[in-house]
Amino acid sequence: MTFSKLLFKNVKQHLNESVAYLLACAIAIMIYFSFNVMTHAPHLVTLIAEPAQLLGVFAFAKVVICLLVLTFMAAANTVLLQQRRQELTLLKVLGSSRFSIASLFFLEQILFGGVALLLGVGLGLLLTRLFTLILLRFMQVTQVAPQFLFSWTALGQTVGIFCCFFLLMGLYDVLLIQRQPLRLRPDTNAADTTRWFTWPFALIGVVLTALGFGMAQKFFQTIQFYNRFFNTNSGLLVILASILGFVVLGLALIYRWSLPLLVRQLRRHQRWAYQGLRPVMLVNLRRDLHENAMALWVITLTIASTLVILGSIAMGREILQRSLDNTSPTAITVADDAFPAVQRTLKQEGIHVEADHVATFKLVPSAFQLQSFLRLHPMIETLPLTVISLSDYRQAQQFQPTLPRLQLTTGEGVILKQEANYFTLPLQTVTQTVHLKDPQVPQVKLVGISGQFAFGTLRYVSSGLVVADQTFAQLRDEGAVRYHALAFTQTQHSLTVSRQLLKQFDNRLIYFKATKNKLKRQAQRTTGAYTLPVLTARYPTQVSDQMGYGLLIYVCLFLSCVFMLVSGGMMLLKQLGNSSQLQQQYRLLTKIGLASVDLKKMIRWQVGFLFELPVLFGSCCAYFALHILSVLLFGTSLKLALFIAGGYVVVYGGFSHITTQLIWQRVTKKESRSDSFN
Amino acid sequence: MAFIEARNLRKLYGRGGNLVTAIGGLSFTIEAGEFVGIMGPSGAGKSTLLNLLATLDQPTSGEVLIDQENLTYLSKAALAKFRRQRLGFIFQDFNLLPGLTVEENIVLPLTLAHTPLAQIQTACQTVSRILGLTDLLTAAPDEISLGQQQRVACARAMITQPQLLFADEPTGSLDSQAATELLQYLTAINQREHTTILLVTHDAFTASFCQRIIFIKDGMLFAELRRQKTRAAFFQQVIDMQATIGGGQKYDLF
Repeated sequence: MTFSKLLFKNVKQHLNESVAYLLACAIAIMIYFSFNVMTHAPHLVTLIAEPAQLLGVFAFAKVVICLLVLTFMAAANTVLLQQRRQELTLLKVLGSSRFSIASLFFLEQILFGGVALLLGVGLGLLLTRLFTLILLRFMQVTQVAPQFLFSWTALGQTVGIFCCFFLLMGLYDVLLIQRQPLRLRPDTNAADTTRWFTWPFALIGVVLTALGFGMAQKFFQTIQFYNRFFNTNSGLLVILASILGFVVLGLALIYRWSLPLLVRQLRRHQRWAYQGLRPVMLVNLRRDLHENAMALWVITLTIASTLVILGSIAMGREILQRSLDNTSPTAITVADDAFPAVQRTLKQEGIHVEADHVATFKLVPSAFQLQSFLRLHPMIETLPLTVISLSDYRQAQQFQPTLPRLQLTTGEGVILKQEANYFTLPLQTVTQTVHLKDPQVPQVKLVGISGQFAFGTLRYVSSGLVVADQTFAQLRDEGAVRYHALAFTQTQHSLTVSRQLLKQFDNRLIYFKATKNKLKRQAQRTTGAYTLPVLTARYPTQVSDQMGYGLLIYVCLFLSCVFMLVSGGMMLLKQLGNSSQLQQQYRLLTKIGLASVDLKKMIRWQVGFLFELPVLFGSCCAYFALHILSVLLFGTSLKLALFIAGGYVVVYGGFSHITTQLIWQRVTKKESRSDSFN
Repeated sequence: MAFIEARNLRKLYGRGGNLVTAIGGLSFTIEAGEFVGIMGPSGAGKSTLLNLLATLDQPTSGEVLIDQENLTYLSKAALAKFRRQRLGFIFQDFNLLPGLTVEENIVLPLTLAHTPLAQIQTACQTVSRILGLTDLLTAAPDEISLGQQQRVACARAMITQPQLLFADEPTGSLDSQAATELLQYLTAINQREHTTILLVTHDAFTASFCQRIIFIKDGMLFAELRRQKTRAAFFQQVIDMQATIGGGQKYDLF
């Protein structure tokens, strides 16, 4: 047989087991190419207010893809070569030189690489329109039509980089072949022995993980306890680092010691273990856990990281939306002085103002203390407070329905503070008096803290204070300013007008001069002056934010797709590597009366367990990490992260099904003639 | 009444003009409680015949009846159940599952049949006592000798108390002492439990433990020997027949 015939025969023969490798590489190439071609499409780049943002995000994503693909290729090649160790040894025994064997495997790699590259770039070219459509939808851009994208530079870069990768892998194969020991028989099962440290390690693993999760769940309390116990303020960092360390180390110990030990104990429990195929399944499971502990650990951590990144981006979007609602709750908010000009412009442009809410804000020098749950010592705030009356606050509730309902009597007040979440817990320990430098109202009794600002945060110099109308009326008027909150429907035209107005009033501010006992409006900026913007517009900011977050979510979703494929493909290859042992078991078990359907059930269960276990642990880790984030980021929801975790379960379920089918095909492969009794 | 009946069994391999006849129309019967050997040169079709009788392979034509039940038309699931409940197997290379302990290997057929634990434990104790495996139950297969491994395989085959035991070259991997021990066990099982044993072997010494030997050559029945006198005399008869099959000169002259 000539060298080329042997090469093509080998490729054909191993196509089935390499199909996962090929497809994962092709899809990664496709996504890389689509990212690359988008960065070379001027009409897309100019859509973003800051094109560097788009280029930077895509450049980062491309680096991540390259790293993921390289790691996957190296790991997959190691597994594939291990599976072909007998073939390698046979070739050596038959007298082939190491060089000719290495050349054979190198060329196989190049052939596979060529096919993956063609497939990836081809799919990328075909699907650019779809990808652009998805990106534009995510960015909520409607004015640009999706179209096919092509760039010679992008094509050249993609082909060049991945050609280098496949060449590198070819060389890596050569290196592995040179170091491969001769072995004709497959490895037998590792001995099921326990050593003196098995039990302690197994227990430590469970305890550390449980402790990490417990600390994450009771995050506030743990930090408070730590800070009080050690009389320090560094609890946040220490506890975060401890949780991370406990969970990472704990999971490693669980995979390496606890789970195999659990399987071992289950085997000893004869009433449970001596049922159907359980003895065989437990042995296989123990072997799989023993061989794949490290891979399962890495996959778990990466799933957790992916979920946390995606979850936090989703949270970020939610926070941004909330922050937007909190900053500019209506289309335009404008100070009383500039209101006539704005009203004129809107009338000229034919924009119908649906509502005009007017509110008065009074800036008052103040001093108050708050107790943060993160710190032992109280936080003292001496910046001026922006005071609003309860009736204006209630007016704002018409267009800010999420504003909490307040009931205040004379002399009572509620602080509005951005980081309200940090101060919610120890409310009883708050020094419940706000000192105002006002002769009529020297102090207000604090009855609550809220993180939501009526009329938007930009109307407040720093923190706000809502007081009863009678108290508000008693306050001095020197530091007062009236704002109009105008509401109108967003259209393309209103967006343009909003942008024009924003430009027209760009950098125009209202200044307040601070004296010893009061704040007073003034015409010009002076040293130490406090400022408020004359005009703010909601829609331009909203559109820009939507585009930025749409881009981030698009990139992260595709990256997580690459990761799912890469990790799923890796697990699939590892599982296929064990199919020769399953084949032996199948042959024996069918002889002693096992129905095929039972064995297939066992394989499905085993494969499914190994695929879904990292998803389960990874999702648990991500849940607790996101729980911490949601605590720190003001109670945002975990919906998207949970949705994506569900996606993982489904995708890995698909991989598990494909793996079961492939293993089943191999296991039930027609035996050679008269092989049954041998 | 015949316990096993092979009716004109044929097994062909390959297709088109490349057909190979492994079994070419074999018919014979085996009575219940018999200890029968199948002998023949390499490629005679011994293992193929055993596969057909053990329902591991389907004949191209012909029928196999065991205990008057025609197995040719049974479904795969029914055949699996039949094998699990009625048949026992001993293989040349033992076919023990390496990760399982000796005890787990022995009780495997019973766990597959979802037998209650108490019954499994009783059966395991009985069979391991008979085969001298009581002290080895917690060991792994690779921790015990080849002879002991074959006894474990034997125990696994016997634990369901099958009516019929198939053994394919059971002494092929054993030294003479271990082989003799195993054959004595098989003889004891045959006599005590009245288990029908069908054994395929190349070895005349092993075959001499049987009561009857069916010789096949090129897929056809060649001769049949029945033990009538001592085992030593029967052994000599087997040697003679092997010489005949191997060279064929003596009988070809007539």
